[in-house]
Amino acid sequence: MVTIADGRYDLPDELYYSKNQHVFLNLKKKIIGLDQIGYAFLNNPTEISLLVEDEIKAGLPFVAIASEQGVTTLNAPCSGKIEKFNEKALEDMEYDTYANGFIIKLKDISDIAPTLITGENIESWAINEAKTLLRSNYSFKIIEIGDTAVGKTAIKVRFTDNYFKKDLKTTLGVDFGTKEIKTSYLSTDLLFSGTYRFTARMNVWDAAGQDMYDKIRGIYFKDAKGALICYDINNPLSFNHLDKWVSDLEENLGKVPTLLIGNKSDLERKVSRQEGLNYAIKHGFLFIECSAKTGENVDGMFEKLAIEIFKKEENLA
Amino acid sequence: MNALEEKSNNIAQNHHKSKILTDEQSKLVQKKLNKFMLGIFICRDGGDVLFSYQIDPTLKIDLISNFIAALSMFGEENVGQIKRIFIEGLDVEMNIVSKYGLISVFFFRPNMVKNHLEEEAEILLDRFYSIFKEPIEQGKTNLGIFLKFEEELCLCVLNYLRKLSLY
Repeated sequence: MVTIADGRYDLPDELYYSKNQHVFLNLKKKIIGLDQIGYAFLNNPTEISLLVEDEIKAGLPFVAIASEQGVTTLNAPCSGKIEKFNEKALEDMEYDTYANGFIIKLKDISDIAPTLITGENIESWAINEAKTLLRSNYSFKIIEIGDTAVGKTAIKVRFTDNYFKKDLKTTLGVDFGTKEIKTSYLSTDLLFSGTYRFTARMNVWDAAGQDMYDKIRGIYFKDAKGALICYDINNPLSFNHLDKWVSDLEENLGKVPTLLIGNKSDLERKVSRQEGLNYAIKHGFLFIECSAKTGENVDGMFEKLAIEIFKKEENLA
Repeated sequence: MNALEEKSNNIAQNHHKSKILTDEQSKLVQKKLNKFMLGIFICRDGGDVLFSYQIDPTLKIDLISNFIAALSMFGEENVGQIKRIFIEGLDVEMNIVSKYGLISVFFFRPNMVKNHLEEEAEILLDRFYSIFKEPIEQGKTNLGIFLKFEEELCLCVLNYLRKLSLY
């Protein structure tokens, strides 16, 4: 058995595999199906249909599978007469693709495609294929701005290292933190509806809020895919200064997915939630109130932002 | 042996061939890389890593890339381009090349021969840009797009070894 991608995919080495489509052929049992990598490529298949009547021919289409990504036609890895078409293949494919999840069983095999992969050659081929599958691994730079002392560094530290320190020193210039998150997005887009699962490395650039950094702060916005604009719900002045931060953002980055954050929700409120929400709606931002001290909503808000950036990057509605 | 058995036996000889390097060349490159290099990454000017090849697992490439990017941004605005960094306590040198809105960073042991290193790093970056020009310019950050650069990297290393007469 060949196991690759940290144990995510198993490929029995006695089977034969078509290079591009991941159709497997079990010569002993005379069954044909989709290997585990092929199943993962399909991304939630919903329907399977046989395209031939009673015979398959090596290299020619024999079955069509509908999934979130459209319809995939599979070519036969061999020629032969069909004994059984497994209409329930999709039900078993995810957990038992090599036995109960087979697609067709043959009465006999008369020929096999010469380009199949088997035995000791499976591993290098499968590793290469799995790399393509990992195409849902993103890296997003996020710029975090707002008045000094609103808790930008505390938010970053809570997110990346999950702790809170009360007397964090003032940030000089810029500070960084990074964390990988796994999330998903349910798209209702007419063409690309379905669930998109992805991993995003969130590279948070926490820019110093003091006026003395106004001249150099702009350079750190470069290539940022999203922004966090923070204020302190206990400090109305920090809320009143939001226009300055919004114009700073638009001047340097234009329109990017942005999350307006009212931090310190654990303290007495001096800016109402409605005021924050109205401001966010007016500017087309996402909005959330959080507490870096208690951790409330911190992970969730980064996830929200990651999804917005993902949607923009992949042109999804 | 019938015809079908013969065919299935022939199939057992099918390889998934590397498009560029032979197995022997790949092994040599890996060996040399492991001896002197700690890692390589290519990131955007802004710090997002697009491609990395990590040999020393303790390197925190995602953090370092942001740090180098910030340093480069600050350097370009104020003091000039940063080309090489040496961290004495860690016994690590970093060679930095910036071009096309990208930064390539090589981490290596200070005892590595550095002849042609900058030139080779630039060739590598040129190659990366020529292959991925479109997604780079579109600002794409899906790392899967750039994964296939690993083979190109090995080829560049092999050429470098040739220049040093090590291959």
